[in-house]
Amino acid sequence: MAVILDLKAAIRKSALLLDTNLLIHEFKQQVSVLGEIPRPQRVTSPVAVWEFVHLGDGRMIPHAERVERREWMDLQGIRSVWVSPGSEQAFQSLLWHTNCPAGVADCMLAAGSISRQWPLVTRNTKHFDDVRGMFVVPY
Amino acid sequence: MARISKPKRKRSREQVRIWLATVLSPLLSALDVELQFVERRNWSFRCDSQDFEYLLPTAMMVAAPNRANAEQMFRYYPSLGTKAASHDRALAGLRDACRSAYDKLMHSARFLEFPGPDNGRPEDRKYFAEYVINDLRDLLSHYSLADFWKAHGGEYLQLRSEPSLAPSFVLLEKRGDSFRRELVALSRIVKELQERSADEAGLAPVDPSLV
Repeated sequence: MAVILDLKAAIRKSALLLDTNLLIHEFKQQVSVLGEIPRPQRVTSPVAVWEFVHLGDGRMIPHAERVERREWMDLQGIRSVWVSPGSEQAFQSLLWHTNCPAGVADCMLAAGSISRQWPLVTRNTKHFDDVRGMFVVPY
Repeated sequence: MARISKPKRKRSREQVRIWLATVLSPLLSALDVELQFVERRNWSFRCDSQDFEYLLPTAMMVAAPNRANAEQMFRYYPSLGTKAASHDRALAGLRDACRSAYDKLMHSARFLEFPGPDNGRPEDRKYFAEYVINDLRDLLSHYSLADFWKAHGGEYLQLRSEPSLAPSFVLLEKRGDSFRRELVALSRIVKELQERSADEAGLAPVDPSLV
């Protein structure tokens, strides 16, 4: 089972991995969680960034908005970090178990979170409920 | 310009290396973003959070697990700690002024009788108030309110000098000037410290693996 952490406890621990839903909600100013996370601790995955600049049907969002989203990430100090060497092993372990998150993007995020021990800040906590060794921060 | 005196305590090379990576670089990066906004007099005030998006207290510029490193630096360089505290105080003052001006606007009869967009939503008005606080003349073209703001934003912005609202905006500008002064002073001291301590320790100011 994933361990649920509260944001304050997670911030004391390490960098935080930001899920796509948080990027979208923050960009659209629908939530204000980032303001509580110190700038150097704001990290995301290229998988989340891919989802951030694509629509649900796989089309890219328009150019002007894409540029704005990229600038926004830079100004917010959100770093996109490539998969860690340990992610491969974590991904392989998840792949063959029934507790693997349903989508490949969530599986990659979970693998990244487990291998680095960075809590994932997400609204979709249910997607990661059964992932052992993972820290999840709901918002 | 404030000068930083040499610390009385001896610093090790390893200590300086860690300060550069975990305190000075993150501080400078966050202060650069603040300068970009402050030079445009755009405070990045947000109506929903009633706070700034890009202006932060210095504690939020350093990772929480590294905060003890910043505190150690403040002990070695008390003037850095003093400037950081002044920055944070001026930021709090600016935040109060933004909130107060926003509140005045949202209760202003003049503001409330101004036209809204066709098919507009009631909550659009809080965004107009936000744009007035941030003195925003243009919105990016893909914003749903961009055309409306292009046509009417000027009228809204003139409310800043309307007699019943002007005192709030005068105060806001004053607090903005004061914050800018503190921000520039802190940036200078951090930059100077970064250059000097790196040179003295024989280190590069920025670790490329962190960029």
